[in-house]
Amino acid sequence: MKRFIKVLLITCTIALGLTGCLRGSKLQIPPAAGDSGAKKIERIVSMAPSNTEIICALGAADRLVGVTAFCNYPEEATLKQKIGDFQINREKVLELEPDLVVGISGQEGVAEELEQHGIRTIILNPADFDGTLASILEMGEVLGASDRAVQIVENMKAKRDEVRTAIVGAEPVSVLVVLDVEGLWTVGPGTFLHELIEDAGGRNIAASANAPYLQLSIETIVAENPDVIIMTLPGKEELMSKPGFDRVKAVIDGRVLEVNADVVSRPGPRLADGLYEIARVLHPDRFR
Amino acid sequence: MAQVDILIDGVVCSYGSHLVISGLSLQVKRGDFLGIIGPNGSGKTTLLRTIARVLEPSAGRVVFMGKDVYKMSARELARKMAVLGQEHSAEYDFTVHEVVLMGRTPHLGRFQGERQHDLEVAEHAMRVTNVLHLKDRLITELSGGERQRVMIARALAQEPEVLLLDEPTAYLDVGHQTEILTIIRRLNATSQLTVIGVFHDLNLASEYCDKLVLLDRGRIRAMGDPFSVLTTENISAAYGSTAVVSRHPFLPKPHVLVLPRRVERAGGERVHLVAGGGSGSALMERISLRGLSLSVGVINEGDSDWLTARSLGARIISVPAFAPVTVREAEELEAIMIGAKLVAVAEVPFGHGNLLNLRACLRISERGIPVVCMGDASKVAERDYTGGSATKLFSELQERGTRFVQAAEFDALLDWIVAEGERDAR
Amino acid sequence: MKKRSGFVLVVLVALLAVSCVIAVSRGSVHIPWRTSLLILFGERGDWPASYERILLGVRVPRVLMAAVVGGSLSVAGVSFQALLQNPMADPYIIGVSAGAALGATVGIIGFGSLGFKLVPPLAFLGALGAMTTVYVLAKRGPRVPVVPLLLSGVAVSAFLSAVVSLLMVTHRERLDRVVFWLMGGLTGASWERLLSILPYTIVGFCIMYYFSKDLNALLFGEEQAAHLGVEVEKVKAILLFTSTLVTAAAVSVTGLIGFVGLIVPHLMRLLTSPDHRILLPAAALGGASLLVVSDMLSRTLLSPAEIPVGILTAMMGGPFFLYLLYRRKGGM
Repeated sequence: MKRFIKVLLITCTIALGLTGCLRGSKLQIPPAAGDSGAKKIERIVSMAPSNTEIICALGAADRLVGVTAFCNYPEEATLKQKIGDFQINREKVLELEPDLVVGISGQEGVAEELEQHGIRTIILNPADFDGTLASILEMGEVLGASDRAVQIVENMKAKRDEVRTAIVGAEPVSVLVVLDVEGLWTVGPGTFLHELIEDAGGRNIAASANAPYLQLSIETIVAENPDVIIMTLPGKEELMSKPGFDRVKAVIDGRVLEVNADVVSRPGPRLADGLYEIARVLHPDRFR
Repeated sequence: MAQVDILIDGVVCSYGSHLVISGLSLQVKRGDFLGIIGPNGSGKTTLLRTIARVLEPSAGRVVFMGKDVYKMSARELARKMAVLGQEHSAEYDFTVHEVVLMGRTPHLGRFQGERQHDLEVAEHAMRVTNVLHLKDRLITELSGGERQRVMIARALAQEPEVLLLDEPTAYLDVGHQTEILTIIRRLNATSQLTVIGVFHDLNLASEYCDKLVLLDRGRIRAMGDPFSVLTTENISAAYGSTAVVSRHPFLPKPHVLVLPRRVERAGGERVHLVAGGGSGSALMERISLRGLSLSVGVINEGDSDWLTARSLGARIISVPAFAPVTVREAEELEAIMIGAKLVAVAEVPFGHGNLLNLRACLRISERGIPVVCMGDASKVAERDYTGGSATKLFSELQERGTRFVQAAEFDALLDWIVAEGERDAR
Repeated sequence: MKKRSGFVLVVLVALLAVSCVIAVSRGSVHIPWRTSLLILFGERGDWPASYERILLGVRVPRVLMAAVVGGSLSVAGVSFQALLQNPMADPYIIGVSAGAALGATVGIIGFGSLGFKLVPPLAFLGALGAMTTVYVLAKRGPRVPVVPLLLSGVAVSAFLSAVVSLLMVTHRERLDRVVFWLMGGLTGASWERLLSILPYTIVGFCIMYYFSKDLNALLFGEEQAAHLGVEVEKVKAILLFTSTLVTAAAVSVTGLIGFVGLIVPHLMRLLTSPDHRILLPAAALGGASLLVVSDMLSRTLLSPAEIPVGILTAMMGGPFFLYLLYRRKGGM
């Protein structure tokens, strides 16, 4: 028995040592020739809809060779080759021979794998409106379209200022966001939708939550009695027929509104439009 | 002096705080066929598992050929000791040959395949246990008896010096029981295989073992040859049952007949039965089962109804075999009948020898004790060997209210007596 | 019987080889047969350079990892079924899956952008931790009886799964990643990951094979095995930990791929023999082939999207298993 354990230990050590060596000399193909500055980026793969929107807005749609199945805007992006959905199909990405792959937070693992195949990757990870502007500027620089990027960012800022001016002195409107009717999931601080609501002169009733996504009980909703309900998916009728909702102010006043989820949650160039849209919903009297 | 194979020395075993074996010592000699018997919970199987190195005793030692079995490795022991358990279900599709070859495991190295010698040992084992023709069959396809023979073959393939049996025939029919035990007995006799077995069936133990150990609550109550262990006293003390021990009709071994235990009721209502020639056995059992007391008579000694009555512990008024009932017994009979709740007359033939029984019934019914007759009034003549006297007595009984009843009605009457008794008791 | 088993082993080796070749030549990117072979043999030609990267950098390691993981889960399943004397046992039965899931979930949601690097080690540690807990809970003096082992496995798994669910509910933003990890898959296959689990598979298999006669004896129950000279508790402890290590290594890089570890052992018992000296290699080969083929289909059926491979193992293995079971009953 003792002898057996000894043999086992030795075998394990050797096997692990072997892996260590191989890891040290891992099969790494050198990065594709040329640096970002030297060679113009000709083939781009986007691994998220927000990235696709930024790239297209920067006028690089013709250089975009691969997008995800979720990339539905702008129109021309839907015609590109698909490289996956939740999961990225590595083979497909490699086949497209991109010079640049643009991912988002959560895709660090895929990005590292692609780097090992010699593909340059960028992870865009904006946390808020200003972060989104920074991402756009960053992409503009990478794609050699800085002027365009600055222009987009200025437009977005202008739109935000317009909203800010419009709502000066307005009473804050309490808002409930419903992501799905079934579970009554809503957003808390740390999400774009939350930021947009607060910026648009609203008060998210889940503002005090310590999680970005949470489920609210009907009791809480009735108690908070929101003035407006914003839905990101269709289902207005179903929501209004839920028990207790007939006492909610937003339902009584008929202020249950469906908005385009993509516009208000994608950290891309349309985010300012989303802000404007929400502000209009919250303060219709200020936008004539 | 014969060599001591196994020495059990002051063994104590417990499951938690419950003591199962308390200080048991025992010696088994080479070539012994030792049977361990005892009631449920007496520690038989525990003792066997202790010997087999499965259940380490909390005190005491089990010494096998000079070595403490708990200081031996499982492998070392398995080369000398094999265990045959109760029939177990085989769920995996091994062939008989593969199963038997498994018995060679303790003799083989880790990566060693079976050698020619191992194949020969296995083949011999299969021949001895008569399963060679099943060699390539799947163990899952065999009957219980065949499978148990395969398991013996596997045990033999271990080439053991000691074979432990844990009720190896518990789930087999009588034919297969004797087959299995005969094979083992022959091995014991021809190749000095020491056998230690746990038995539930006292007669199987008596028949096949040279020596028996009777356990009772974790201690040895009796030990020795079957005649000295299987006595009425020992059996009653260990099992709490009454047993009749006789000699086996063909073997120099005791034969045990354990009698049904009576379910006594507090009230002690009694039913008297006039029977004979086997006509009353079934009725007696029905009376006894309800916990009613039973008296029987007058009856000839040695009559089958007499044996039944005796085994049920009934009160009996008897006359010697073939002797007629005399006035003396008839008076005694009346005295007993008076104390009964009911007197029943079985469908017994009446001759001059037992006619007095019927007369006693008549007198008793005059004194208000209910009398019933089993069977059909119209067929009484068929069992009247007195030239009409019995038939006449029957019709007189009927005139005094005695009825002829069938089994179902008789049972109803008994149940009524029981119910009445219980009501009175409250 | 013996001869047939040898034949089946040869067939299984051939099957695995053919599966691997086909799996390497098929994918969401179409690379012609001949080109694939030429690339594999190191030839150079006028095909796009990406073909080499796809084949050698993505597809080959993925196919090999499918083989290694399939084999690992199957031999672990064989071992667990014999050790627990339970045909329903699979490699996940005593808490391995729930522990790995918790480890992976913590990695995914607890460490932000660094999480992806921590998922495999945390899953591995989670699996080992859960199994050790179950083992300690089931220990009764020097013995570890099977029923308490199974029961504490159920209890610990239920508890850990509940914690995973709680984490999923409170971190909805990472929900999809946790769900995909739980479904399992070979998407993240790489040479590095393959080499990190290979030692566990090889060493684990050798240990199991070393005890194959003991496993045979254990099929007849623990006491029977003890009577045949098996040190039951010792063997059980060694093999439970070995099987857990093998499973944990596989799970740590692929998530929870179901069904392979349950059904392949039964499939191979029906095809070959319950004798572990044959069954273990057969299960390794069969499990490897099943996962290689399933993964190939998962990559190609809805290309470029992937079907979680667990769905395909169940859809392919289930009916085939039933067919064998039915044929066997009918033939008797």
